[in-house]
Amino acid sequence: MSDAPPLPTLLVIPTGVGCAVGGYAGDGLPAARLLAAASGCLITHPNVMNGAALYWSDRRIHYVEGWALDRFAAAELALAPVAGRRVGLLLDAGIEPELRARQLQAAEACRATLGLAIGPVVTTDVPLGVGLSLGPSGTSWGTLERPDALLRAGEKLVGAGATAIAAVARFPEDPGSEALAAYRAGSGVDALAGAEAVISHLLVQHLGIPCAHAPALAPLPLDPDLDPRAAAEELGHTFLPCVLVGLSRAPDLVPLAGDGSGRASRGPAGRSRQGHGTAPAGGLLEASSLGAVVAPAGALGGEAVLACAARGVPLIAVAGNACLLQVSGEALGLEVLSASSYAEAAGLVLALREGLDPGSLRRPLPRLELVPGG
Amino acid sequence: MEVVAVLSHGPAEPDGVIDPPELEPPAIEPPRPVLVPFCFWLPRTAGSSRPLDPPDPTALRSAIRAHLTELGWADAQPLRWAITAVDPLRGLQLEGVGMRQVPAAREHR
Repeated sequence: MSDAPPLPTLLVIPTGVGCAVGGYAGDGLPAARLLAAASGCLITHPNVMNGAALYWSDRRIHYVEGWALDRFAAAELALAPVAGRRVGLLLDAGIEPELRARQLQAAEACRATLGLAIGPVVTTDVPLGVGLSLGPSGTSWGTLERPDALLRAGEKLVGAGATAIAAVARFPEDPGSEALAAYRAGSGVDALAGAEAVISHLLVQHLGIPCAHAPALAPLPLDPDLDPRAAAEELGHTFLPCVLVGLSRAPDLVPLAGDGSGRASRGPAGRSRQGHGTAPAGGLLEASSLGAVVAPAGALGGEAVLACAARGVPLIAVAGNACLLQVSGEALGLEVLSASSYAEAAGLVLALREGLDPGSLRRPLPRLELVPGG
Repeated sequence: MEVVAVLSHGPAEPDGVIDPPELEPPAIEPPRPVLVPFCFWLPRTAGSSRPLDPPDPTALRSAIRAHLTELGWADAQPLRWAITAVDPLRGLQLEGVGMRQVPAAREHR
């Protein structure tokens, strides 16, 4: 284990673009754990950490929803670690009674077995009307018919004391679809991911507190050829436990003043700190302290990665995590440190943490460049 | 579980005598958010000063807002987006979902 100070590192595995690692049911988690060990401080998003009934809690990993992650990378938000928080449960009115009871029992289990602070529970006043679609690039996107109902329910939860929100929406399903079969076979895009991201983005943008989403779906028939990466979603009746665990210690989202001073300011809803046991002043984690960002080599066109690259944060592009997209460093004109796998990426992060030049670990080692006239 | 909460969009309660029902103004519904998917090609020079400069995310957000305005959604803001393709001739493909506020009574587009 390194005794060097932690090197805050951002791990991004975009949702709904068919990543070979992290594009399924929390199968980016081993990479996150390794990078957390290498860096001593990892900031990543629910898509990486959520494995339905499976999860891993690590104090070095900061669970930050995608919209907040983008704002963090753009130096508009800071993160403040907390000891714990109360997670309110937001249920879509479109969920059938039996499926709803399963969600409530999952929440009760997390209270009883894990000791999490959960509640209250609010049901939307009308069904949310989740719609799934694929964009021209083949990535999954989605919309909601009633975002207003989602936001009203979120406001109710905050008014009733929740400092984070786990949302559960009824998702459309088509058990016989080719897309689902491909996903379960390990060769497709997670069709739900785009709509899930839209739901959590809406809530976090509107409320300024940590939020994440779990879909409500009826159990699927047994598939003996199920890909191991998709298996976590078929262990139980809900996808909720990982979300509740992740949110239970998600950091506060502290808006930074827009004057370039980096000072913390009050949030959009008048809240600046929400969780209990917050870090003292000065304990904020800010984008300026980021030492590396790790992303799939073909998916470098997201807002967080671009914001980090613009600030000169070393960008580690993992070639071994293939996806639908081919938005590479070369195509975008970004300088990257190339890694063939997350194991190699972790080695590069550790090198940066130890103050080693990653170039010194590669061969051939070019001679020093002499500046003319020097 | 019973939840006691105050909605920020709820009607305000007057302190004094409530007007007789026939004198109450019609309830004003707050604007309602609507999601607007988008996908377009942005010529490479629009997001950077030179064709091979890395794209600037702030400039890309502005370009998305401009695109949504061209579509008639002047108040729309990008909610979630990414560059999903790069083409030497067409530039950057920007794909995502924006959000705009519409009067509650207006039909969704």
